Amino acid sequence: MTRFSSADFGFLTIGHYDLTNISTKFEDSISRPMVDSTPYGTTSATVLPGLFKTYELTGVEGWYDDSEYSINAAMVDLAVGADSMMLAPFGNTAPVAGAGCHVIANAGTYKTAYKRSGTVGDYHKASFEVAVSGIVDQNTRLVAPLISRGVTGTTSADYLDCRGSAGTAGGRVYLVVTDISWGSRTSLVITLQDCATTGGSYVDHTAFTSIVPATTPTGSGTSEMKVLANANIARYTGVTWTWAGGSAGAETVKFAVAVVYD
Amino acid sequence: MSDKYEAVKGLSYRSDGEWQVAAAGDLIEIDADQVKAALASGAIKAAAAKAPPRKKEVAR
Repeated sequence: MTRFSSADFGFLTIGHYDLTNISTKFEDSISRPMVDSTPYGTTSATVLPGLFKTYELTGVEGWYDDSEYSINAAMVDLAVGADSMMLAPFGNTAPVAGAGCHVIANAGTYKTAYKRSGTVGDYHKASFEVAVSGIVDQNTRLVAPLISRGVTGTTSADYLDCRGSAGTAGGRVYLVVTDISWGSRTSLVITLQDCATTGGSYVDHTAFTSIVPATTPTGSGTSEMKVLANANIARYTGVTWTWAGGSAGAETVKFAVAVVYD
Repeated sequence: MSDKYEAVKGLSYRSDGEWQVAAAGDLIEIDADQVKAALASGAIKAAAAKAPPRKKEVAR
């Protein structure tokens, strides 16, 4: 078996906030609470199998950081609305021979609690809790690791072979952009592509919403979950990032993409 | 060996062994070993008349 440690930790993002370098601990849990079905007139309790599986990410601790795109900024407002979350505890590398890093992902993360603490003789710390609604994809695979990239390009040389076969029943694909620098560019489209053979050309499958400076200015980011645009997806996948407008040279974007098939 | 084709869909492909990205409508040169499958999938088509004449030999 493979054993993983904190040195293997890939990244944790909520919304477009990259919390990796300011986090020191995470705890998550999956549960399916039983339903008490004991009727009147019996002396022994009975239960029914739980109807709902729940996922919680409760014990995230880290350093207090007041910079603009920090854990503090991510949590202090406890803004209403769901964010995407991507948790990659087992690495952040490009797929090797088709094998991609494991990611836990969902699009229904609600920020519920944030705590700051300061102790004499210690560094200020912060912790937060989130609640998760809806599907939590436990076996999402990283197509494109969370790294900074420059001019228009593709990850097709380091393809993902998600399940060793094509997908036929749909699925979801997750994007997080944690930092962007536009230079003179005016839009960016990130697209999941697929291909039936490892050495073939890769064709657009599911495109994320076009990113523009008006809503995602330099220094910020975005996140999005998309249902696969076609239930059928070829065995091998890659990601392209395509800039438009202005001129090439100064643009950079730090993003990750992960996919799961149903 | 490469030849000129028109991308019908967004595409990533190899040209002279290097990965490139094309949008639908772009005129591209694609390495011969990717041509057959790309044509079959409808990802590319032969370039229109405005492009330089294509060689007649079949890409291998």
